[in-house]
Amino acid sequence: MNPILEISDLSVAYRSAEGDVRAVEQVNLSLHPGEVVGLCGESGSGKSTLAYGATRLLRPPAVVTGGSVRYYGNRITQGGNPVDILALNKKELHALRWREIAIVFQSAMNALNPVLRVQDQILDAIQAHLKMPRSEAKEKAATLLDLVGIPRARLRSYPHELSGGMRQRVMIAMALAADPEVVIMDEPTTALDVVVQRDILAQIVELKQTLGFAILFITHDLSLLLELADRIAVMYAGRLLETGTANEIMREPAHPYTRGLLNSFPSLRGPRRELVGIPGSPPDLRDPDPGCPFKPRCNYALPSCSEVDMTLARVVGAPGPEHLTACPVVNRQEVLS
Amino acid sequence: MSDPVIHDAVNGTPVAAGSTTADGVVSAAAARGALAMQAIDLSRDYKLGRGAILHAVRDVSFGLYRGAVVALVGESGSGKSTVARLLAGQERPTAGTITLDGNVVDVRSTRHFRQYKSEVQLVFQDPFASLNPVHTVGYHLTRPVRLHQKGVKDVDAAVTALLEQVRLVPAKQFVSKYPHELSGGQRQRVAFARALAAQPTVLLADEPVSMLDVSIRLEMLNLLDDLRSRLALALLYITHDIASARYFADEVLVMYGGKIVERGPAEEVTQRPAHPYTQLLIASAPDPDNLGSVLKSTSVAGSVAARTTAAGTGGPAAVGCPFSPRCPLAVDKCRTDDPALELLTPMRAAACWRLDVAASGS
Repeated sequence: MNPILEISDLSVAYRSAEGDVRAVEQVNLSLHPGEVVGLCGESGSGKSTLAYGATRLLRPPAVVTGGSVRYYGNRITQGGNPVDILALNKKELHALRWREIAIVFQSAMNALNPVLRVQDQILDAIQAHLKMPRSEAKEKAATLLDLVGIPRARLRSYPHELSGGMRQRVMIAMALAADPEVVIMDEPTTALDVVVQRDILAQIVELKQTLGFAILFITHDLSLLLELADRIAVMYAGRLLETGTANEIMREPAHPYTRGLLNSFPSLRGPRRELVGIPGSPPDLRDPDPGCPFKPRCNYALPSCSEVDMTLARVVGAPGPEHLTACPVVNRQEVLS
Repeated sequence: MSDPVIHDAVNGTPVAAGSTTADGVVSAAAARGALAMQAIDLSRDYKLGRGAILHAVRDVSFGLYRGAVVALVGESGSGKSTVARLLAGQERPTAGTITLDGNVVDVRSTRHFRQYKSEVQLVFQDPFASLNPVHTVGYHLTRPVRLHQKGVKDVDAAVTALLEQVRLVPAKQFVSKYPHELSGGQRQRVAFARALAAQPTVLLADEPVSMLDVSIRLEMLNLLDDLRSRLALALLYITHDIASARYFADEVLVMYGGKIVERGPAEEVTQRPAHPYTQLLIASAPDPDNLGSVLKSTSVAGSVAARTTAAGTGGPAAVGCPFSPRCPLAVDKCRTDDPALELLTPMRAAACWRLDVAASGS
């Protein structure tokens, strides 16, 4: 099956007087129709920069320094060749955004306009991207709220009159206004309580099943992705270190960083287990050491790690073709060779 | 009910007597050490205008013990940070008493407040906001050392010792740094060091690791645990993450709508939650071991979370049990009468009219 979105060798740098901060380095990631891909990383790992770079949402000093982002959606390609998002002009971008790729931003508190009623904000989005009479758009706005489980009466509310969970639901409703093929969610539930978070995630999964869009779900919380995502990509210091199905990441983590993460969070169920954690802190991207960026914190590090080229290779012995790791040390066969 | 407890504490009776809090529960934290601080029937109201009153904290009683960790768990708005501010002396309770080392706390004068602060210190969630960006690490630590360690002649040596205590080594390198030059974890270490500069007996940590990355959190909790045992700190660990409370705390107090709705030994509360809210909290927490999660299956029926959603997600009720609007088990009585904490075992209690049903359902 063709992917719906294919990010190839994407690199993004933040220009600064002291030199470039290479926030995203040659990342490859694809998203298939109806799939939930989880992008997991710590703050500063480049996960949001990757998503915004791929959708042309970055502003200077951020610059895409290489790579391509292909979009395969039928409404745009008409069955022809995929479009390269990085090469689109302003008008084409406008047609792509919201209609094809929608984004749910991290902080609903900041993303909603505090002085506009919910209805007006949804109408704005609808009328900017879909051509329909105002009365029809109003009905559409009400239907969207139905979809995310908010009473229609709330259309008249201002954002501050809604709870944090409701505001986040409004954001999701707006993202779905034009029936997009891809929804990028950037930490959509991070500021919410666990109970509300679970409600919203269950809702997202239900909507995905009904409407069939694909989700790129960005979060720092790997434990959440293990439950939610079909596939997971683990990002660190601008690089992807490992990708695989949720099951592979959980049961057979290949990269030492992924292993460290899995040993870092206390579990609620099952017997208490020993937590190990990852000592140290992420590297300074202004002046990265050559090779693997995780090397200074890694228990398995060898001198040769300074020469690792960080391409993802299939995990030796993995049953699935998509379990990839950037660590040759743990990938035993290469240790032998 | 509160009077005899204060009396006991004032007379310096053994720990065993002080281990029973005002609600009759023997604290699971009491086995670790002597009672350091006690909250007795603490309440805090806020006037909202037009005669409306928000009961942010209602009749909360618990004890903090030397060398032990008590976790206060709840969602945002449950009143857990208000409890911390009350204990820190930053706000005065509307009703109830706080005792420190057996004495009723009175911080009305500046002198008393300063003395109190040298015993009770607070660490905040956000190390980006709690450190002053225009001052160096050294400045942040020198001031409390001068204020609280009056006898100390070599202030620089004291600052170095503090930095080493929180493992910011080599200390010399960190003294002259500004907050923006530090990572989030390092900043939070400075915040810990600043709190320790007062040489407190009680440390109130309000979501101390929530802003930090997952890979850093564990290290910080381990550091906190190490400080607790080495300095015999009485630690209140406030968090919304009940999984971390399981690993880190001796006793867990679960708050909802300003009340403690369940309390007991950490392992028991997290493994066999009695109150429907605790059950919901635990069912909702993401769990890496929960690969076949409700999120992936098409049907979410049967889970507590789903039933609760169906029952509504309103805020805490003002009348009756605060959890009744969201509770799948609520009956008429729950909507009119507020249940008090009821002992389940000497060390466990829960406030619920339907404990018989709730306990069998978990």
